Amino acid sequence: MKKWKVAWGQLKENPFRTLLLMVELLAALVAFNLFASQLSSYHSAQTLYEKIPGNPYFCPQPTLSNDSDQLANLTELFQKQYPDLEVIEQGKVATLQDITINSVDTSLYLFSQEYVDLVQYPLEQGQWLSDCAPAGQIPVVVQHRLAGSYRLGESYEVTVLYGLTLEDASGETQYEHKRIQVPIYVCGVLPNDLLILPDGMVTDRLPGMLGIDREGLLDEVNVNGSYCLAYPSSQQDVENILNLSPTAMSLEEMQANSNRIMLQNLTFPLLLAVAIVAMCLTGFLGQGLLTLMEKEKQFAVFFLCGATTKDCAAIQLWKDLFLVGLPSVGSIVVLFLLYRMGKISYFIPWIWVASVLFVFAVFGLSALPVLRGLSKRSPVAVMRRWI
Amino acid sequence: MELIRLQEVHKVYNPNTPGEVHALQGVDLTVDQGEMVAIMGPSGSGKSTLLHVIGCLDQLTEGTYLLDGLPVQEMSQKQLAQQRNRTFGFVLQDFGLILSKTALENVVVPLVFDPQVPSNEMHSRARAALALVGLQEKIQTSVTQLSGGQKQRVAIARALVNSPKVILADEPTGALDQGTSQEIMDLLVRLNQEQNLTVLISTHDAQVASRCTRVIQLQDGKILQGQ
Ligand SMILES: Nc1ncnc2c1ncn2[C@@H]1O[C@H](COP(=O)(O)OP(=O)(O)OP(=O)(O)O)[C@@H](O)[C@H]1O
Ligand SMILES: [Mg+2]
Repeated sequence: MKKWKVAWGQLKENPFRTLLLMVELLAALVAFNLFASQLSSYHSAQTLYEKIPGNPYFCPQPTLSNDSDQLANLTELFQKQYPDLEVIEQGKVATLQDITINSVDTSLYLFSQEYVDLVQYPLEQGQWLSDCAPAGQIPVVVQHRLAGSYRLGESYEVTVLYGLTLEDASGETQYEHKRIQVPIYVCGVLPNDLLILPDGMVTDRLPGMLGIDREGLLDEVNVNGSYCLAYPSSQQDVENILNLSPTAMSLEEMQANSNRIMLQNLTFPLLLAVAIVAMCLTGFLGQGLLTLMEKEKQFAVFFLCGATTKDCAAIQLWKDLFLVGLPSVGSIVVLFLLYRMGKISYFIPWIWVASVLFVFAVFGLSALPVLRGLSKRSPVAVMRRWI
Repeated sequence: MELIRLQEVHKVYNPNTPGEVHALQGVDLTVDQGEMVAIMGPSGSGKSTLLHVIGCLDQLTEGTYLLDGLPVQEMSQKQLAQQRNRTFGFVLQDFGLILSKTALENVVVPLVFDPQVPSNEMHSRARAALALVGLQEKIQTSVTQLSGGQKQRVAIARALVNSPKVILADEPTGALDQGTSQEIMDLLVRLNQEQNLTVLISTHDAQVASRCTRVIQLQDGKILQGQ
């Protein structure tokens, strides 16, 4: 029990060096995990785009539910509501289930009250306001991870994109696209595992539907397929929409645009991760070499005072535990905060565990020569050099 | 009462290599509880080696060593560590202190490795040991700020803190001036007389040796005199 105190005491001998090292480690862990998260997002987006057929379709399965009865019910409901709707068969829905949709930044969903009423089952597992009928605002449902920035029962203004497909007199379809400010009121938060599939192409199938993107995050078009849906609540909206002249993008263009943005998001944490990891490694090595003698001498003194080689190893282990453990805990806090703030869409536990173990291993290795020296050469030989 | 008995003890460094050194060549020695023994001899004669073997820091190559009647060769690493911790206190020429720590923190070290000493007693014991060597004023001082004599007192306090039976001092005055040497020797003699501590001192200094009750002459790893 006393050994951890010795280890802690050793760290406190040089508080500045210890703190610096801990901050470096924290930064390295966060940067690395950030990078992993963005890479995952990118990868999932690619998978998603590959799975979107050339012809856009509407997927009636807005949840990650595996319940086929629920799927059938929903499908039926949608078909009733929109007789024109082409519904793909359930098999295809199932193939989409392994995609983690929040990776493509599906963020905010705007629905009409009817829609909320319609989709009963999965939504009621989240948090809901009963009798949510805000005056002059669009009732919205937000994804669980956005619950921090869009709080239940509060009003916000969001910049949204909308798309509108209309048929003109000659039967030609027209596609309209523009940004507007929309007052919203948060009526519900979806349960944690519930995600609504991106259906940016739905406007082709559902004339008159307003497509909405989050926070004006993406310029002009819904680049990442994360269209959110709402209905124009008044004739005035429809007319406003008709007075604008946006342009549409093809699926390929959307993907290219999405990739560009995602790669941009990827570059920064990557550079950061590489820079910091490089910095840390040189730091560790420098530190390791500098303190090698110090450590050796201290352990020799410990040996003289009745420690076994094992005791020395235990002290070293405690020291590394503190040095790596504290920043690890710190990094998980930072990552969690970033996640809650919606800055990252993924937290991948095993990547975190692996990065922590890696750092721990680096530290363990740097102490190895000293401990080996103590057990291989007799401690006396070590001692003779320093005492 | 007999405390230490060495019989035909040999110590070979780096055996069977070109760097082989036969540092002890058949040493016979017994030391009783409460003796104050000086070990003299030219440089390289094996004084440090002898103290290391006696103090369970290093193991002998050949011969027998009975400590309080128990054969040291049969002890496990853990038992040897326990002897270093409880039976012996070491004082070295270059003090062997951890420079980044205070006097108190240095003196506490042996207690850390004694599971029988509760954590909350460690500091009071270390304070008592520092008081015993007359350093109660310097408890929280970093050892880098102490004079040579004071450093050696800290080392002696550390050697004493776990109430050992034997103090092994390897040229304890080697780095000190005449006056300070005298003070350190006064302290060791006092501890020997007042606490019945067994003290073994290696030294080049005849004056230091003259303060001891017995003088052993070592040469080429053999005891010439004082056996
Ligand atoms: N770890 C070691 N490896 C190899 N040889 C060693 C080692 N330690 C000591 N020796 C050798 O053993 C012999 C005895 O050394 P020791 O240090 O015991 O002498 P000493 O009497 O203490 O000398 P000094 O008065 O200079 O301290 C010397 O020849 C020394 O070179
Ligand atoms: Mg010597």
